[in-house]
Amino acid sequence: MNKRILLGAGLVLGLAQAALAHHGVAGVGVAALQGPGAPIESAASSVLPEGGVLAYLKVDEARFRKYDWAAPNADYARFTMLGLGYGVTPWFSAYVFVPHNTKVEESGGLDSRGWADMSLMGQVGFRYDQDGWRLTPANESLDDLEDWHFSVFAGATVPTGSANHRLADGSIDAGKSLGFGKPAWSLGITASKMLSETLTLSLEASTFRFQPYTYDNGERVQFGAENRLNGALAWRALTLPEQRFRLDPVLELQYLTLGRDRVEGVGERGTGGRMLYVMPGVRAYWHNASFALGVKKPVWTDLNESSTQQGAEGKEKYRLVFSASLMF
Amino acid sequence: MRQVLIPLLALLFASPLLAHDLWLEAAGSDYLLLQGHRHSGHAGAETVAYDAARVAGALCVDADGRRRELTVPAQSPVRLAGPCAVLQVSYVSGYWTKTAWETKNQPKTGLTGVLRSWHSQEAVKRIGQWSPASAKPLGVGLEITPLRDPFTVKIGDKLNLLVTDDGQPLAGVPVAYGDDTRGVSGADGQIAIRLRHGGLQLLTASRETPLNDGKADVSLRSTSLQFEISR
Repeated sequence: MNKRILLGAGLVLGLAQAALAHHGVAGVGVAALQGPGAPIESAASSVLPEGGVLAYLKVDEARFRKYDWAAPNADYARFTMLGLGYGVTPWFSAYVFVPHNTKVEESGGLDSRGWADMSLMGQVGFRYDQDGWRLTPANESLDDLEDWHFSVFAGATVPTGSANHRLADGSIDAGKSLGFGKPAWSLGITASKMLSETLTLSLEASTFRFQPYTYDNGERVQFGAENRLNGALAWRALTLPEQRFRLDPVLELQYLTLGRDRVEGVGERGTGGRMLYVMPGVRAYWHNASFALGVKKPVWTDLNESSTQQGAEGKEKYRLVFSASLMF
Repeated sequence: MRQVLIPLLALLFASPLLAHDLWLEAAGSDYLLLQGHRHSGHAGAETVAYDAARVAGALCVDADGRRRELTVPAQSPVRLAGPCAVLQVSYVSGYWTKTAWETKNQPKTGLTGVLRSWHSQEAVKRIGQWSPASAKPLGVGLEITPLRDPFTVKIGDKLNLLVTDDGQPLAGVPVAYGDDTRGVSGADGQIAIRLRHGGLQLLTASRETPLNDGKADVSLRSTSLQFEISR
């Protein structure tokens, strides 16, 4: 198995998971000008309004550190995510996401690009206030939005991508495949609170788990579990009511643990580890649209075999994350 | 929720109705109807004189739910005889027309350069004592009713309110706490507003509907709910 297998697992699933956070879309409605802010990438507790349709685009481009020993190095990976969300009830939203992955190596390496496994997600929203717990109601005032909001989300990938995608030399590399072969599932919780009229805290804890899959080359692989603890602060710095525009600087911390991949039931060296990312960025709201841009950098890593994990999470120079959401 | 943005913005961009606050102040067992800026966040005279003829009616409800129409004197500020568990006063300032040059307190009929015209009607409801009667809408015009005893609400807690028009729940009505619009009523006419300070509480709602009388484009109605909580 290729040493960059983490890249295939972690980045693709990271996108699928993070896309669940429709990132500030609730702010496009009543709360656009004064309501809670939203993270750049982490999941938030806001659910879609009943009957509301969300169109979502996210592009995440990772540029990797390069080493002589790793030639040809992984150069960059670009993960594009298209999504649609629908507010089934005021407290339950359903999403479908389709990712497109591009993984490019230096000259002499083997690239991979194509549509990957689609994913289905559901999110249930809650509010906790002086009257206790309740499902997110259809109508919330700005004062309601100041209270603690929570959500539980769950989802699964559908093996629509080509797990046995063959590279230019005819080989199969699970780390560069376009699917996991079998559904992978996610589960997470979020909590959000307006700390003041302009500052919003968002927290997320989530996990992504995989099933073992036997590729056409006979290799049986199970990617290591992804566990995340994310926190974000969004500050409403600029509000232009007449233009229906708002700009929030956002600071996000993401702690990620990656389990060791298993090949033929045996833990694979050069995979897994722990890392902490910092991502400063901005989120803009304009009418019924929201745009976010952030630069994500690993600031602390504890990879299992760091010296062999070029191209894996934690080995990025930086990641550029852009997303756009549109509510109908 | 998306559809509420426009009414919210409309209110944010200053309805002329809200230029002055109306409030009822206890004077012994009676009440004075005052107008001005004493309780508003923007600058202006503490109290402003008004024409007592604009006071169109006053309804007093005692703790047992008995109703009586109060006599409205011709002198300003209007003094109304109490005591009342709930007192609602209706105030009609009539037709207004904004032209390219000025805003006039008259219908648009015959005026040139008309930009906008409206008919203005306000109501003030003061709750002085909580009782089963206080928990129900009086059923007269646009109205805000607390759904629980507001005198037990602590500063920082939310109070659930019901917005009605002639006693019927009304959705999509912007509701403000002081000068700050906090949201719109839901399909059931309800909204929760956080009480942020002690003393006099002023909660307002407004509604704009088309008028076809040829004298103004719209009818602008506003209502305020007031009560006092300990500081």
